[in-house]
Amino acid sequence: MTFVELNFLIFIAITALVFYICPVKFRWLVLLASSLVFYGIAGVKYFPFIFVTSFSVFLAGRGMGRIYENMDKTIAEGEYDRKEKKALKDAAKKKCKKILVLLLILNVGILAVIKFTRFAVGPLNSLFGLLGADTHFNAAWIIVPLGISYYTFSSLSYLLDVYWKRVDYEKNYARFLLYAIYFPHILQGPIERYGKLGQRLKQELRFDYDRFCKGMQLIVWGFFKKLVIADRIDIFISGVYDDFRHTSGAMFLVAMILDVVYIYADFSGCMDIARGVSQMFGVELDLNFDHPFSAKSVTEFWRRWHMTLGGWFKDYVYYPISTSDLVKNIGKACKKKELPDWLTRSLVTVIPVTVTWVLTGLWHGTGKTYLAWGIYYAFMIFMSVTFGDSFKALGRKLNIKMDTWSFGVFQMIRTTCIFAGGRLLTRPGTLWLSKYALKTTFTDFKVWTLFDGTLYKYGLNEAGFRLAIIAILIFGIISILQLRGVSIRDSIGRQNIVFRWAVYLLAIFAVIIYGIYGPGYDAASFVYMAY
Amino acid sequence: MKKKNILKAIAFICIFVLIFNYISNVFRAKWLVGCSETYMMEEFYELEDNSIDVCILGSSQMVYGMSALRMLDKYGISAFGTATGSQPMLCTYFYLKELDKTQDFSTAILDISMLYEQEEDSRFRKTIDNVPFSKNKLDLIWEYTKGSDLQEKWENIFSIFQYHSRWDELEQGDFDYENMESSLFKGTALRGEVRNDIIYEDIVTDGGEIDSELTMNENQKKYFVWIVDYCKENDIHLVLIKTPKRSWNRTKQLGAAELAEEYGLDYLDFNSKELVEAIDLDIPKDFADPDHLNIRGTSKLTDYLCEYLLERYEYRDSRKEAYYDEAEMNRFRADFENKWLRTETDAVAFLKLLQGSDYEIALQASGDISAGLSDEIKTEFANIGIDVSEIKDNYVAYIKDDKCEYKETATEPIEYIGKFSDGKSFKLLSDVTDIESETKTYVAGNKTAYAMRGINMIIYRADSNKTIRCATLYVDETGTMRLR
Amino acid sequence: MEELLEALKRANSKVDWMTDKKLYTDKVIDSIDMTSILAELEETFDIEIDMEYIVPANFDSVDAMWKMVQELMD
Repeated sequence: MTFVELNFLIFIAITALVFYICPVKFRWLVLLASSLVFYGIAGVKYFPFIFVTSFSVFLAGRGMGRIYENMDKTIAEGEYDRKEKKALKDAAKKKCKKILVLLLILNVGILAVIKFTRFAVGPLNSLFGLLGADTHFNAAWIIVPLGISYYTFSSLSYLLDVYWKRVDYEKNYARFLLYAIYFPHILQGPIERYGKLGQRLKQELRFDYDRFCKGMQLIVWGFFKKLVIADRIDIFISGVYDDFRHTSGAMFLVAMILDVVYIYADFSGCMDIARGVSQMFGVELDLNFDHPFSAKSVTEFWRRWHMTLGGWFKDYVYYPISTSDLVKNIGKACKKKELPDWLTRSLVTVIPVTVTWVLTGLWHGTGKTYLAWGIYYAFMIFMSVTFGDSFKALGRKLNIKMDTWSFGVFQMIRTTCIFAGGRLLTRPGTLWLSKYALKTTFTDFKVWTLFDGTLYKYGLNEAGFRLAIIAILIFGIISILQLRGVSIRDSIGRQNIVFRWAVYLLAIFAVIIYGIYGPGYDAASFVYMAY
Repeated sequence: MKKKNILKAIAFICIFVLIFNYISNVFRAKWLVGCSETYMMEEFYELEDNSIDVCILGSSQMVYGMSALRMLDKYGISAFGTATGSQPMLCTYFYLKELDKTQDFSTAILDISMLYEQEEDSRFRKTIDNVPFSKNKLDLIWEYTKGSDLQEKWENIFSIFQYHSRWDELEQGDFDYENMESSLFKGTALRGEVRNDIIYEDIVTDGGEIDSELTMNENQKKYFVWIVDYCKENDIHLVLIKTPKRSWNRTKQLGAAELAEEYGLDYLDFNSKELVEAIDLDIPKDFADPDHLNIRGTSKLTDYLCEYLLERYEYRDSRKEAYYDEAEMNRFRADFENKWLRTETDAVAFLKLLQGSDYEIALQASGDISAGLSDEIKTEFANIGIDVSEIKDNYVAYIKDDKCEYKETATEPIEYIGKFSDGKSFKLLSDVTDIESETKTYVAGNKTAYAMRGINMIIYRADSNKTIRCATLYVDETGTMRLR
Repeated sequence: MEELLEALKRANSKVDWMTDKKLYTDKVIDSIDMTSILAELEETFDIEIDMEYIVPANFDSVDAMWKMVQELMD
């Protein structure tokens, strides 16, 4: 079941009904039950995976938590000096580390095997073939449990947070399972920390009419972004890349620009639906997007785009690596040699940045394109870190004023272009096509194709195109208003009832009428003009 | 939850539902051209309860094969046709039950063409999308979408989810369709065309070869049995027929007859020599196209079946009941007259029909044609006010009420612009030297006539502002008088 | 405290360490600055700052950092 299905809406309706009929104390159980049902509908065969991961992490958390508790008790009860205390702490930590490593290997291992085995299938068959055996390993055999990337990362964040004593360990497995499998966030995130979501799920979940309605409004907005904008322009973009042989550079450029809008509308749309659904139950989910295209640098961009993923990698990969002994030693060596500031910075960050970004790339998908994507961003950020100050200095020398709004716009456009470059690596499907598209943009632009109707030959007719542009403009205006601090839902909520309801009804019917779904868009199966 | 909030929520939902229904209605594809599903259902729900005694079921052959208002006018029998083009048997079953909800009819006549045809998705949709929600509809959707996932069921229950993609092709007809004209009368219609290239052997199945590979469609047969069972349970006399059509053959005939016998039902196959002769079917004149009868064939078939029914069952005289609507009957009679005129192939009979009628005639002729005309024709022309001996070079005339209101004859070309009694203008051109000119008559700026050496007539009906027929009377190479 | 400030200045001379803003949460210092700060603090005070101490609360102001350093020195 995906978010944008009628079945899902019915599922939410039933769950909400049961949820609010149930006494407050047991409401979290309703969420757990419905999450299990949701997961079961996706595939009962996935259950072993989620139980193995969640239960093993739960046990490990409990184990580590108890070791620390004992250590604290021992220290409090006894009289130890600093050195002895440190020894006790180190011993406890060592024990926990063993547990941690074991579980990391187990769960990351499961994730890695599932993600990468697809690519081993071919070579494996060849290898066995060489040895004389006639194997037919099939990639289709590999089960990919629903949301494995998300629930694995959530569980690992809990594990590390317990290890680093940032969070108290959970004593109730059912509560922990709910955190791991909570259905609004299992499909596409956001990746939540136990300290936040876990605690929110423990609060009293009372009905609030206002909040309930706001949740539904957010869902409608998410549907609008996904069904009316994203899925619509996706038709065009896919059309362009599918028919690449006959496509002009201008068309590729339009596709590249629209692709940026597409991924933002699609992803943030789904996030809005997830957040809206969860809001209906009184459970806030973290934001995943904070007006990313207002970012003025790549680093800032990744603090605004897919925020929970970036945050996860920062807290659990980047910092541990950059505070590891290896990196610290590099830093010390640089200081000793009295290398210039910028060189020190670059040498100190090269390892953490590269590792973090390559892993981020591989998290998104396996294959050369994603590896290239990771390296691309590692390079961009590395450049920004190393030469950022130098560019600023250069700018000052050239008398460029960097605090004007026009310069700010320039920075935003520059950042967006870098992002578009990243998308170009992964969207077409192969690196060859990415290169081809880029090359064609320069060598074969054919500017007239922008005006002669070619735009409407890629699956989206003129009316559809115009509708998409209007919808994107609406999206843009709302985003700008939000940047200025306007809360759209609150603002509409303050208006008179006639206006409010007109807006809500318009929005709902816009989704129903203009959404890309249903047989009208599945040419093969429905010919309603047949006579 | 506070009472105020509950009320607000309910109000919002109500408004939503209202708009939703309106939008669903606008968006559903209504197939205005030639489609009967929409109009038939409109008429259906306007019927008075328990006013129907006969239910006409089947596919397009039954839309045109029987005339409900003729049955009423001539025999006093009230009937309603739920037939539509290529209607799958499951839909026929649905309509039968739907009609039975509010009507208490004793007889059903079913044309069994569809037993040998495929079910088409679009036909199901045409039925489903044009009927209001009810348990009957839900059952239909359920049976139709058996084996498909839940999503498809929703799409059928709420048609907007199928048709919303029509947003860029909505037109006036979608908003205004109630004001569009329909040629249906109580679910049946008459065809005003003649197809004269159909021969006896095309229709009559006697002596045809048997094809053992040809079998009935299993689904259609299954739902046919449901219809039979339903009629049995509800005391409805079911009569099976097969209207005459070219795409029927001996194999199908035998198969259907066998099935009828299995269920103990009467079966009248009008493709058999016996019945073709019984209704005096005149094959070159009584068909609109190879599979459908025209007004003449339909009248014969209707009369025969009415007599057949009256021999066996009793019916009240619905001419005295609420079912009878004077205005509708008048429209029907006018429609009947017009189509009868249009399907007339004999010149003399044609001219006789014009006499004493409300038709206005704009006439154009060129050349000396009176030589080829028989005396009988000359007489009939005289009866409507035309002296054909006056037609030598160029000639135009306007006739009303059997009187020649205007005529002009000259050796030079004539161009005459006149007006029918409702104000609509017509133009007649007569130029005996110009054989190639394709159009010699116009109505309201539109071309109407063929380029024929002969007498071109525009037959116009002022009370309905319509051109009924553009006829040409000419003499062919063999010297035979022809009416086109 | 002065020792702390000097260490911080060595880590990054351009930051206004006494600002009212929250250093970590309001992104006055970024992740790369953190690396240098951690290295400097560890060396200057001979402490080991484990991951569990790298939280916003400990780095949002110079005072918070001083408290953390003192705690680690015990």
